[in-house]
Amino acid sequence: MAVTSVTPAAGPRGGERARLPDGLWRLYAYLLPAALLLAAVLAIPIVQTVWLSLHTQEGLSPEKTWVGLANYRDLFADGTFWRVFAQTVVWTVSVVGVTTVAGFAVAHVLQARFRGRWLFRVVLMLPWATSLALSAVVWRFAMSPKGLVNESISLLGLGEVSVAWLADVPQAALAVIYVGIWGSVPFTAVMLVAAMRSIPDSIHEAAELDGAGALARAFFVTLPMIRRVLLVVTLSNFVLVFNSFPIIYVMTGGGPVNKTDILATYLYRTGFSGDFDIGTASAIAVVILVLLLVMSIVYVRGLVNRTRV
Amino acid sequence: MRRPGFHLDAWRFTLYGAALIVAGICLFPYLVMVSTALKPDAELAGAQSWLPTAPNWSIFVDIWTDETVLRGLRNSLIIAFGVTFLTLACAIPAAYALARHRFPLRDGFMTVVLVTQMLSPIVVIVPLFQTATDLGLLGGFPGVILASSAFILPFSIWLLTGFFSAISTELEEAATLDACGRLATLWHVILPLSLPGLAATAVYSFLFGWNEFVISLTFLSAVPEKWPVTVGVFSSIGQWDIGWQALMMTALISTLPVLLLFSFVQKYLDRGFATLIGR
Repeated sequence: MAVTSVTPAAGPRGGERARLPDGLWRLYAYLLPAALLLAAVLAIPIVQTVWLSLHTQEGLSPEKTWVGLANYRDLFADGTFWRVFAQTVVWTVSVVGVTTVAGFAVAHVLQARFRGRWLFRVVLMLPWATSLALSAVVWRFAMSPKGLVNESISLLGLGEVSVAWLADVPQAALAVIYVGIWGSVPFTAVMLVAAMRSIPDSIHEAAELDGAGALARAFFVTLPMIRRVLLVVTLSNFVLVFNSFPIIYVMTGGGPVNKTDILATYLYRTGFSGDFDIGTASAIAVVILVLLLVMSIVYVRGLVNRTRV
Repeated sequence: MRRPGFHLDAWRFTLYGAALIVAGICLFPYLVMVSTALKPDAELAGAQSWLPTAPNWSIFVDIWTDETVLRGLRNSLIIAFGVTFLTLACAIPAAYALARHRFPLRDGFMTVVLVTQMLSPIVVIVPLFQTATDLGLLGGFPGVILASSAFILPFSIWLLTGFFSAISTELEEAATLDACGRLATLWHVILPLSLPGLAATAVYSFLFGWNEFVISLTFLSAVPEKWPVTVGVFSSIGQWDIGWQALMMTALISTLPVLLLFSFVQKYLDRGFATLIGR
């Protein structure tokens, strides 16, 4: 390291922080690259989305016609939109719900000391670390009628099956939800175990002396102690899963006939396939943004007000 | 509770059972990748079984001469390194300012950072596509890297701010007294001390770039020679000239760097998570 000697006599003390006006400009200069990137890729496009949602655009031509709220009117009058909306709710709630419960259970396995725990950790993180687009391709392949999912079901002694998992609902919906859970449990479990480690051993020992079994301790000691982290993780899962695109887009493409679409995939296919309906796609994006805004208010209340960095 | 040594009591038995089941569920697609990659065409036509009867081991060698696969891996690397570099270049100064100084708009900026973390590319993909078209960034890596970085940047700033805040200000003051400028202090004092945080942030952004899908899919759809692995594998489904074996092998290979990186920085990531969920 370059700095080792300290010379206390050098310069007037406290100068660095007192020189605000000059220092302030420099501080903002430090923030500038990040601010520019966020503005260019997030802030401005959000405004553009609202603008585009008030226009119609013929395919890929740049000609835009002002139509006011017509895109929204058409969207809200469209039965498909509302069905996709309901499917988004089902998808998000079931993936996040099961993930929270399963993540809490897996966190207990992760916290225990046993041989090969290191390997278990690495294996557990695989679903989180692999691109969902790739694992979705593999799941899609494995779920074909003669694929390895059906083969495994018969190996487990559950009978010979040749289910075409992705060809129809409800099994296609179940299949994508399963993969959604598969992909979000690892991160949840790791976050929860980090929180569980911060609980002092003495609390568990005291509960054990009082005769509380493992299950009782999990629910009456661990759960209340990690409540805040559980809330934060569940909320961020909610947003992530709600926004999730690759799993459904890759596995079913939203099909058969929109039956597994969620808002994210519906938006993409509206804007980038068929008749490239930019106006309607933007209106869907605005709907998503409004929902995200509501969620972020909940999120900020839950997180910022309690943890300050 | 914490007896030394190995005891196979009921609790241990449950624990190992649970660990095995969870590991099996997690590993499932990777086992599918290996099993499928090894199968000759004939064994993929009918009902599939886990163990290939005539495993084609040469796929492990042949895949490295497949130009499409190598090109995909190279493209993924370019995007991942680009995202890592740009993210760190923007996040380090921002996090330093946020961690060390109180100033007007600081809390506002922190809140914006936290909220933008919730946005996914899909929400703004339509205007991004149009802007990229207008600026001539469509069909090239710079556009993909710029757009992707913005989505991992908020998280990176948040993570690094936590790490920088944890460094004692005394060292910095000493450096300042030694007539080091702010930038020099950041470079010589803060960065070496926060290597774990930097490693965690770099790994996150690398993984994000390596795994990115929707932006590349949208920006690069017309130029197959620039497809990263994610887009390439997805777009090859149903293409008659590319076998499932090669696809599975490619998917397997592309999880390797992830696994390696992850094993190296596991303990730093733990601290990263701890920072993230607050102290």
